[in-house]
Formats: sequence, C-alpha cells, structure tokens
Amino acid sequence: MAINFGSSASGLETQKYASNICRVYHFEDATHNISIPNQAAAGPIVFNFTKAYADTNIILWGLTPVSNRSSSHAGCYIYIKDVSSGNQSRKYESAHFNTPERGGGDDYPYGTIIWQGMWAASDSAVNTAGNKEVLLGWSTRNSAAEQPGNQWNPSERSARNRDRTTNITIIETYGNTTFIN
Amino acid sequence: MGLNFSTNNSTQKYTGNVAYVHFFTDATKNITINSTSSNYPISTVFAKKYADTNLLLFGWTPVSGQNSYHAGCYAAISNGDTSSSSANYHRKYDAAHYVTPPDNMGDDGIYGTVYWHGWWNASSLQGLNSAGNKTLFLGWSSRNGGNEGPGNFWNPTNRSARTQSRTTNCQIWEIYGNSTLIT
Repeated sequence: MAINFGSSASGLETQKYASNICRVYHFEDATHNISIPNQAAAGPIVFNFTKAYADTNIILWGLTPVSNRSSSHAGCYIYIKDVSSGNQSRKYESAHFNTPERGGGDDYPYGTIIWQGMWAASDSAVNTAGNKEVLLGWSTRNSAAEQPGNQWNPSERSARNRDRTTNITIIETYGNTTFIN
Repeated sequence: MGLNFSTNNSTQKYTGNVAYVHFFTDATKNITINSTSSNYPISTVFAKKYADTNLLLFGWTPVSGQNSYHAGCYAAISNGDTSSSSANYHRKYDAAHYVTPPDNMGDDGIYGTVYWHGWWNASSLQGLNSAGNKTLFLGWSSRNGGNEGPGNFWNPTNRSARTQSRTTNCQIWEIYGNSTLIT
C-alpha cells in the first residue's frame, strides 16, 4: 500500500489524506537593476500568473534584494489583481522592508524586502481562474516621497558582486486551509 | 486520465503529502516588548486536523526599536500547556533567528526581524500527536536569566508618519508521510 493510502471496506485503496496544494508557481525576476524612484508611491515589479482554479486559496512568500540605503521606510505592499475585473486586494502587512543599514553605494551592505501573505479563495481578486497580476511596491501613509533603496534586484553592481533577484513562490491550495488572525 | 495518475488510470503516480495549511497573520499590532528574562508576546491557537501529521513552520515577525541584540528567541508548540517543563510542550530555539534593528534605531529608523523556521515530528511528540487545538508560542528566554528586550515593538504599525502596517506572517503545514527531518 502506498504512503498516504488506506484501505476501504471494499478493499480498494483510497487516499488517506488529500493533498491540498494543487498548483505551484515560482517567479524569478529576469529584470535586474531596477532603479527606484523617490516618490510617494510606485510599483517597480509587476508580473502575471494564470490561476488554474477558481476555488483555491493563494499563498505566497519570497524576497526582494535591495542595494543602497535611501529611505528607511516607504510603506511597502504587495497586491494581487484580477486582470479581467480589475478587482485588487492590497496587503501592506505582507511586506517587511529592512533597508540597507547605511549608505555608501553598491558595494556596501544590502537590504531585503520579505513578502508573505494569503488571499482566501473568496477574495474577489482571486475567486476566479485566469490571469492575475502581482505588484510589488510602496505607498507612504503620509504621501511623502520615499525611496526604499536605489536598486531592486541589484546585479553585478560592484566588481565582486553576482546576480541577485526577486524570488516569489505562489501556491494554490484547495480546502484544508485556515486563515488565522 | 487525471493529472498525476498513471497509465492504467487507477493508481496515483505520486501522492501529495501536504495535508493541511494554517496561515497566521497576526491581527494584534504594536506589541510592546518589555525587558525581561522570558516572555512570549505572540501565541495563537490552531486546530491540527490530523493526529499523525508532522508540522513545518516558517515565517517572520517585524521588529522596531533597537534594544537587546540577543534574547534567546524560540518558537514552541504545545497542546495548550504553557510550562516548558510539560511533556506536551516542545520548544525550539533553533527555529528562531533574531536580527536586531541597528543601534539607536527607533520607530522611524531601520527595523529588525525575527525569522521563524522549524520542524516538529508532531506525529509522535506527546501533546502534538493528536488532532485538535494546538498553540504556537513565539517568544524568548535568555540562557543566563538576564533581562532582555528583543526590540521595542513587534508587529509595528503606523509608528511613524510614513509607515504602514506590518505584522507577523507564519505558515504551519501539516505533512503526512514522505518527509524526513535531517540533522
């Protein structure tokens, strides 16, 4: 009997627990050295994925590398938008920006934005199959111009450096998923 | 023939083993961190769906305000017991990594992070090897009993004019079979 299969009364093998991860997407940004403007709001990284099923939850996590200190804060967020309807669901709480500790340039310590969030299957941005847009950006609460780093996805910006880029994993889960807050 | 089913149309080729996902986004913001030798500022209850699944935790907590560099952070899971001496309580210091805000940083300065990532053999550990309510504790306990404050606020929200909400996000996966803890 295979792992995760049990016996039924009829003698047939039945799966003991259904797995609930039914689709995995991984975004690895091919665009490097994204110049970050000094403004109140911007969305420097945008990508799309095709949600396979209407009735699945979306869970994502990942990171964006950042070079060169500018603003310590900017109000970073991530949203998912249903391209067809335009329904958008933005989450500030799914972003955490740690600025590079000091200025100095591309050969100095770097920073990170880490991303993690869940959009329930009932959310109007994800409750259909099809084309979804993900945007990584910021919007300051007081509308002041801010610049969360000078470059996102810094690549070969000093002689010793290599490529770095944004990596985000997105999963679709069906059932057996609970949002706790 | 369904996806992931073999040619005779009767057997699944590979079984998935993530049986349940719990996603915790902390609704409690601006948690004040006091300087003390031991504390768990965040705890949350989740209903383990199955008795014989293991638990994988990963996530992070944003932190504002530099205070102590170190405090002995941990993640723990129990059946609700809060005593670390209980056989139903399983604490992992190795599942936490605290990176303090830099020196002298406050609510508008550079923030820090506690990273959480750990595995519990919950299919066999006492208190976890049953379905039902379990409690996740995120906290610290200094090894020397000294008073420490890992930051001033966890889940800092709107603490300066330009900042927005930030909070703890953690996933707990229940995994059945086909999984190995390597040490």
